[in-house]
Amino acid sequence: MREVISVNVGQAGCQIGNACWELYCLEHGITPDGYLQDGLTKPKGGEEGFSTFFSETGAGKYVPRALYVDLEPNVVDEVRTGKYKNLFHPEQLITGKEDAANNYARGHYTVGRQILDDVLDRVRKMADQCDGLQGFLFTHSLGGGTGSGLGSLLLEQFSNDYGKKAKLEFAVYPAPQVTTSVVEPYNTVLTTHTTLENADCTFMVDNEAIYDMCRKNLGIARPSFDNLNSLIAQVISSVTASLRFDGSLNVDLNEFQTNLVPYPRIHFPLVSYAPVLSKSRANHEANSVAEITAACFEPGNQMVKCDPRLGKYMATCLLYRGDVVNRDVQKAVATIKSKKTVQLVDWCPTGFKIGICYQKPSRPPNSDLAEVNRAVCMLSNTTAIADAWQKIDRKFDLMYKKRAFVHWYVSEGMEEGEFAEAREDLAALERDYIELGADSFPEEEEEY
Amino acid sequence: MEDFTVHLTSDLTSSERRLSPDWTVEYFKHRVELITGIPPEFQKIWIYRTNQSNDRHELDNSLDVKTTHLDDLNISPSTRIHVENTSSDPDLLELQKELLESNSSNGGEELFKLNEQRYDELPNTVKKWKKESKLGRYDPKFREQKEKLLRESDEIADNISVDDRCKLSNKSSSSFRLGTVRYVGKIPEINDEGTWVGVELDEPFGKNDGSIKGKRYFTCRQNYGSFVRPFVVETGDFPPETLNLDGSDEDEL
Repeated sequence: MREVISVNVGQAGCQIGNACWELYCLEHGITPDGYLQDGLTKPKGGEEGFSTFFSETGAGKYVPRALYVDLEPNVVDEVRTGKYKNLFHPEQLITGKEDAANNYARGHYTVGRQILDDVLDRVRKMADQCDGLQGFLFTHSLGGGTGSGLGSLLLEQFSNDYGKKAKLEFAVYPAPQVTTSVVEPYNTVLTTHTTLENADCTFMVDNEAIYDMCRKNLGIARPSFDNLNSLIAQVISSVTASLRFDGSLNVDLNEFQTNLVPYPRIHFPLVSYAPVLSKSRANHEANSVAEITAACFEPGNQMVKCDPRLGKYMATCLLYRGDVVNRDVQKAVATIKSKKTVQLVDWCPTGFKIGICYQKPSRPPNSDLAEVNRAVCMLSNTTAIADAWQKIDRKFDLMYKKRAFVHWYVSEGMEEGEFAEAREDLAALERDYIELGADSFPEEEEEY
Repeated sequence: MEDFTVHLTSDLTSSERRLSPDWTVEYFKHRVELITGIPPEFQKIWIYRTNQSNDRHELDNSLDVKTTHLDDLNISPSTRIHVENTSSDPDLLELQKELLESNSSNGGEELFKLNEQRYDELPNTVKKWKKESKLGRYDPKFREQKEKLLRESDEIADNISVDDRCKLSNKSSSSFRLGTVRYVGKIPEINDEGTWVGVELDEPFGKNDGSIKGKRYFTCRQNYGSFVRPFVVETGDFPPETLNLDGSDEDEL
C-alpha cells in the first residue's frame, strides 16, 4: 500500500477539493454516498492505485483519504450538507469560527493556530490507518489568508511530524493582471518563502490562465469559480491518474520529485493540459496524439502565464491518458524536439519522460468540457516560470516601500522582519532561475 | 442563511466573494477594506442590479451600519459590487496609480535588489549547488567545450565583414533568410561571450530594428534586424530575391 492523503485548505483549496473528489469518484465508479456504482464488483482502476486515494470501511463503503480545513465554516458546510455529505466522515471536515480575512498572519499565527492541534490530530489518525503512507497532496491558494497562512503552517508542521514523506502542492497563484485582494502580493511572498523549504513539488495554477481557457476554449463568457475549479480538477486528476490507476510514470509521489526537480528549491513545474474543448467544438477536432502534444507547447494551454520559448527546460514529463499508443507518442515527441522553440539547459541532462495511463478522462454530468478519448498533461520544469514571481515581487515592493497595510500583519503578532526576510528569499529564487539559464554553449539557435 | 456570491471590484482588485446575509453593513465595510485597501470612511459603494447591466445605485449612506444587515439590502446573487475610493490621501493614491501601472505594463523593475555578495552568502542557492557539484562553468569539461565552441565561432566571424551579403540557415532546417551584415562583434546586452553578427534582413523575419535592450548597433526597420551566432552566417553573392509569390506578376507584365 502506498497511501496519499489529500489536504484541502481554505476556500479555494476546499472548492477545488470538491471538484477533484467528484471526478475521482466518477473515475473509480464510486457513488456520492461512497458505495460502488450499480453493476460494479470492485472499484475501477487497479486495487493498488485505488487504495492510494480511498480507504475501505468494513461495510463496503469507500472513504476518500482527504481532509478539509477552513477557518470559517460556510464553505465546508456546503460539503456537510451537499450531495457528497455521506462520502466523508465528519471528522475529515475541520472548520473554525472566524476566518483569516485575507491575512497570512491570521492564518499562520493567530486564528490558524487555534485549530492546528485539531488538524494534526485528525491527520495523525488518518496516517495511522495507512500501511505505507507516501505523503500528502495539498490544494490551497497563495493569495488569500487561510490557504497561504494556515497552508504553510501545516506544511511546516508536517515536515516536523512526518519527516521525509513527500509533500506536493497544487497552488492557486495570483494572476498577473487581476488582483483579487490588495494584500495578495504580501500573502503570496510570505507563504512562498515559508513553503520553499517544506514542499517537494509545487504545481502552480494562475486563475487568469484558467479564466482565459474557459473563455476561449470553452466559450464561457463570464467564468465563475465553479467553471475554473472544474477545469483545475481535470488537470489535477490527470496529474494524479498515474498514482490512482496503475500507470507507468510518476506512480509514486517521490517520482515526481525525482523526474522533475533537479534541485530542491527549483520545484515549480509548469503544467499544461490538452485538449480543453467545449462540446460544440469537440466534433470538429481530430485530437490526435500529435495535436494534443503540440498543444501543450502553446501558451494558451498553460496553467501559468509565462513564455517557455524564452526559457530553458530542465525536465519534462508527458502524462497521457486514454486511447494512446506508444508509437504515436514517440513520433509526436520527435516532432517537438526538432522544433527549435524547445531549448534545454546545457549543463544538466534533460529528457522527455513519458507516462501512459489507459484510463481516459471522465466527464461530470454538468461539465463544460467535452467527452474525449485521450488527453495529455505536461509537467515541465522550465526557467520561464520565474516570470510568475517577478510581477508579484514588484507589487510587493511598491507596497512595502510605503509599509502599506503592514500594520494588519504586525497587529496579528507577526514581526515586520519577516517581510524583508521573505522578500530576500524570493529575490534569491529569481536569481536562482537566472543561474539555471546561465552557462549555455553558443548555439545555432540563438537569436535576438 | 446561506452565503451568496458577488463580484466585488475596485480600481485595484476584482474577485468573486462570498457574502453572508447576516453580516451588518459595518462588518461588510470592514471586509471590503481588507480586500480593497480602502478604509470604510472612504468607500463609495455601488450595487449593480445584475452582473450584466450598468444599472446601479449607491449604497445609502444614511442607513445605520450597525443594525442594517446585508439581507436588508436586496442584493441580487452573483451581481457586481463596485467600491470607489474617495480618499485624497496622497500616499494611497500614489500606490494605487503605481499598482495599476504595474498591472497593465509588463512588470517594470523590482525595487528590492539582491546584490551578488549577499546572494553568495545565502545557503542552498543554485549557484552554490552548481559550484559544489561542479556543474556548468564550474565543470572543467564544460568550460573546455565551451571555449572550443567560442574559438570556432570567432574564427568564422573573422571572415565576416560589415556590408557582406549573407544567407542565414540552420543545419537542422531547410529554410533560410537573406540579408546584409551590419555588425560583427560583442554584444554585452545579450551576454559577454563570443561574437555576434547583426544582420539587416531583406524581409521582416527578424526580431528588432538593429538595437537590443536600448543599445543601437545599426539601424533598420522594425523586425528586419537580427542578432545571430556566426555558425549560421554564410557570406557570398546572395542578391536580394524579388518577392514573387505565385507567378501572377509576370503574367501582368
